[in-house]
Amino acid sequence: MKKIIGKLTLSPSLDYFVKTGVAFGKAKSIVQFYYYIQIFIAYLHVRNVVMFYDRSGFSPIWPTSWTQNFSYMSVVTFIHLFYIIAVVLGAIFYKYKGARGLAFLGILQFHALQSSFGQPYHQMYPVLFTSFLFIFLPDVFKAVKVSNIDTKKFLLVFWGAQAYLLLIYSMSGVLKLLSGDFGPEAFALQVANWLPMIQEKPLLGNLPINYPYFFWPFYLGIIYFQTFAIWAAFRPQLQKIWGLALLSFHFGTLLFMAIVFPENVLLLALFFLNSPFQQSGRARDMLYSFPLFGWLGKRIFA
Amino acid sequence: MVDWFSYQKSLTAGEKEVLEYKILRFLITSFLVTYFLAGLYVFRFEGGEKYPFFSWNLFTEAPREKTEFILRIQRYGDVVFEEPIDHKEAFKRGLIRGFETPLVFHLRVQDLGRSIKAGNRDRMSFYRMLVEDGFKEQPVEYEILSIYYHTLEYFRSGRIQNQDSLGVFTSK
Repeated sequence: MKKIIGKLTLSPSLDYFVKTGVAFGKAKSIVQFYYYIQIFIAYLHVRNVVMFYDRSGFSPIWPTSWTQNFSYMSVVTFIHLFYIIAVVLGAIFYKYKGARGLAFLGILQFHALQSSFGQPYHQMYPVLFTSFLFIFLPDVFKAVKVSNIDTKKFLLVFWGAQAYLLLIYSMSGVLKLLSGDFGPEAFALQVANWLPMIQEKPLLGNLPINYPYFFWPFYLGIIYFQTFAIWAAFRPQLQKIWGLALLSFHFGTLLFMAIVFPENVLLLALFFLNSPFQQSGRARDMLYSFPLFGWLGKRIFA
Repeated sequence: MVDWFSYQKSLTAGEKEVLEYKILRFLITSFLVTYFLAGLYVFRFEGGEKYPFFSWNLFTEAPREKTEFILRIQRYGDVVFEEPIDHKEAFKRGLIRGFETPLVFHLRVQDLGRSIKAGNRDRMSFYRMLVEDGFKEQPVEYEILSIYYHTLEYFRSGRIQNQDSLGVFTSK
């Protein structure tokens, strides 16, 4: 256990990435785009405002507890407008901590409104928490010359947001492992259990039910990539592969189960396909850093 | 507290920056560890979550057999159904409003069924109110049933192995 925890450090270290200078430039661009896509995410949500008009069972959770003295429709109107203004200002003034804080507040209020009908809206959690972490970015966007320590702070916060995104997949993967339901028919049973509840007909919904054994290795593969996702935070050479694997997972769940996680897809693509920490290197070294199989391969072949 | 301020004052600008970095590193690490531990903790709550923490317990179950609750509408406003329709069919026919998706309505029916089965009157009244609020016309006479089925067979043919009525209700 001590050995495993000892390996949970970024390798190479942040100092290495500070020295090369490339990572900082990339991370800054990604943060900038992160705030731009918040406008798009807000647009996608606000266009569905009509769904709030006659929704049953509004029971405010703690971030929206202030709404109790106001009429339901004025709360819906205010929070939607505040959300739009907050993310637009966040996108324009993302270089300033105050604007990033305001964007977080807008996202928090909107997400809390979405989650005040008896069930939290899971898809927005990654947006909520990454926007929270980005408040801690040092205000270095406008500086002509940035000190090494400020660069390191910036990369640290950025890494924290990446690690959070990977952590949630690991948590999901670990719980799948602990459930013990990953036999040959597990995926077929999941699909058969899920589709009648949502009453949708996804493009490839019947395939895992008709050919469970064919899909089993893919299902096990996804559990592997989910469970060890957090490992990619510490071994950046794996980030692109993990990003692609988790994106494939989302496309798979969309095609087979009609499950939509658009915010996750945006964030995975943005944070991992061109990760600031990704390095070019020998494919063999990259494969050796895969958890379990890489370690095993290294023992046998190296 | 005083010691902390005097300690900070004694530091050079460079040392202060290093200290700030270490504090930030501690905060980020604490955030990640707390989120992970809180996720494990809230796993025990209904749905595996307590806002804003979530265990990410999604699609972990692959049940071969399943017991769930259905709501079967017998009378909807002035219309009497000779063959009662279940809540999924009712959603399809546009008889339910105020629920974002069929899944959300289905989950509320499960909540109602669970509360009836547990004999929890307060929760039952709450979930009855939520569910009945979703009917576009009133009054609605409906039955809550507990059904048991084999997952794959139910998916392919809709065949139910067993069913138990938990009661017939009329919305106001």
